[in-house]
Amino acid sequence: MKLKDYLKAKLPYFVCQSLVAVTTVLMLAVLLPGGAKVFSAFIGVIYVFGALAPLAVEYRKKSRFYNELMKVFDDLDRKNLAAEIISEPDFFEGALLYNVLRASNKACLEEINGFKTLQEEYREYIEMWVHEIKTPISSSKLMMQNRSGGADAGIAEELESIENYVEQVLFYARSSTLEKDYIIRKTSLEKPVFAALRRNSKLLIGAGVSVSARDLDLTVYSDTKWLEFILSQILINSAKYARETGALIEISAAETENGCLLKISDNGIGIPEGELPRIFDKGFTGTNGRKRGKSTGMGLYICKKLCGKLGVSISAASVPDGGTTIFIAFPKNSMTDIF
Amino acid sequence: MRKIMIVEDSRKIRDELSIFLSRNGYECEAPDDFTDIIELIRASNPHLVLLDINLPVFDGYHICREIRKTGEIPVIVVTSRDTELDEIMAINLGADDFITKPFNTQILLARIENIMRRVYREAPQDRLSCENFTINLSRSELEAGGKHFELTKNEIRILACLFEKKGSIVSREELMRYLWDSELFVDDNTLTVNIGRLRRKLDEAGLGQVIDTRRGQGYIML
Repeated sequence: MKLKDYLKAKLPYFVCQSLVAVTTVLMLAVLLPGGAKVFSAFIGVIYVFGALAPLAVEYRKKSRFYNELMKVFDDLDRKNLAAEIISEPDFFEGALLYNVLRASNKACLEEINGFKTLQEEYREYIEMWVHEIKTPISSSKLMMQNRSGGADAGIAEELESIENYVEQVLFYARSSTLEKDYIIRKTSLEKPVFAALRRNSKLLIGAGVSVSARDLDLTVYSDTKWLEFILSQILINSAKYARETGALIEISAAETENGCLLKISDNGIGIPEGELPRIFDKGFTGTNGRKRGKSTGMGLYICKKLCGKLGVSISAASVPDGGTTIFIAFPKNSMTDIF
Repeated sequence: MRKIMIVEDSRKIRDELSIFLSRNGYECEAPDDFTDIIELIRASNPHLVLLDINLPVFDGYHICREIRKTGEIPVIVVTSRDTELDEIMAINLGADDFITKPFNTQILLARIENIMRRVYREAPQDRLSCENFTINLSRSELEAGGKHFELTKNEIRILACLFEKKGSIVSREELMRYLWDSELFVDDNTLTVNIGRLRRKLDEAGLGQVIDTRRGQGYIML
């Protein structure tokens, strides 16, 4: 709150007070005979002083309160908490505002908490549901393996893609909660990469993909289960958009200045240049996805969110008709070994 | 015969697991009443317990803890709960291994064999023998007519896979998946090359045509 602005806001008051003061002084000068000039001027000065002094006091109080409020508000990340931090003002309108702010903040927090609870319940339900659905998937797979015949291969493939979609739901629910429900542990990159390759063996072999996985004996700090899911999504994409013959996926890792870089390259149909920046966007399917008609635009979006929570960065490079490379960069971790 | 207790509340999974494990030479017990499950396990004293986590009456963690209080029966937790936290918890409570549903039966089998070997100090099943030859898995060798022939990692796994399914056709895809499960990510061309080399080695060993090709279907060891 600047003095200039304050004074500007008080302009009507000044006009009125000045009018009254000038009128009073003039009237006194006219009505009182001789020698009254000094007296009326004196009255005028007293009057002006009386009008200004309370203003100065008021300005001091108000500017202290409002300046603090504005500063806190500017500095704060969560603006709605401003009222919790400032001290209660000692003037009437300030106190009024202060109380309203606090009450509104409280209502806002209650609402947020309500949504948090709702979201948490929803996530718990999804988590439970996914675990439930995994039981019939498991038993179907077991039944198929126990009575293996030629016709089952197709069903087995479908089951595997059901499994993947179910997994996506689970990780989507996990990626959008505020809670941290992963565990960072020391792991070799081999573990999640091999697990993801094994998990998708049917799909990759079916698509006739050659896989080369090398230099993966590097240590990173991450959640292997999450990584396995992320890598699975990338492999599934590579298989989906693989070229008809001679498809290739190369997975390798290297140490960099700031940590470690995992590269998953394929020689598939690639991504049009204009679409590349949007492949991690929610629901983005792109021309390839629409052509092949099997894309939901969720896989990479979930990957990006999970990567964000894990503190790793994911990016992509692509040459149309040449192939796509996904980079996952793990930062150096100074965290001590807990496990 | 090694006895495995399957503690699992889904009847279908229980039945199918029993069929699968019996076929692979284990005796199975799969109770369907969980009220006295801990006493049941103690009384039956199996060589290994496959334990689900979400169970009626007690959850798997509790059962695992109770088993550990009195004995050293190995436990593999088989569950659809798939977070790292679940795994850490299971291992901390004394489980020997942790597998998430839906699982690959070959991997489950491998883990079971692994633990059986470690706990009961069984000599590893590293020699597969038939009339004419022996496959030595740990040395990656083929023994025939008193001679030893060195095989590569891929070749020995291919031979072992065909040997395990002796008498029935194994498709190329099945063979590849078998190799992938052992972290040998072999593609179609490599498989063809490996099979060719393997045949040549079998031929050199004087065994003749051990692996037959069934056009459009796969390979078979007779």
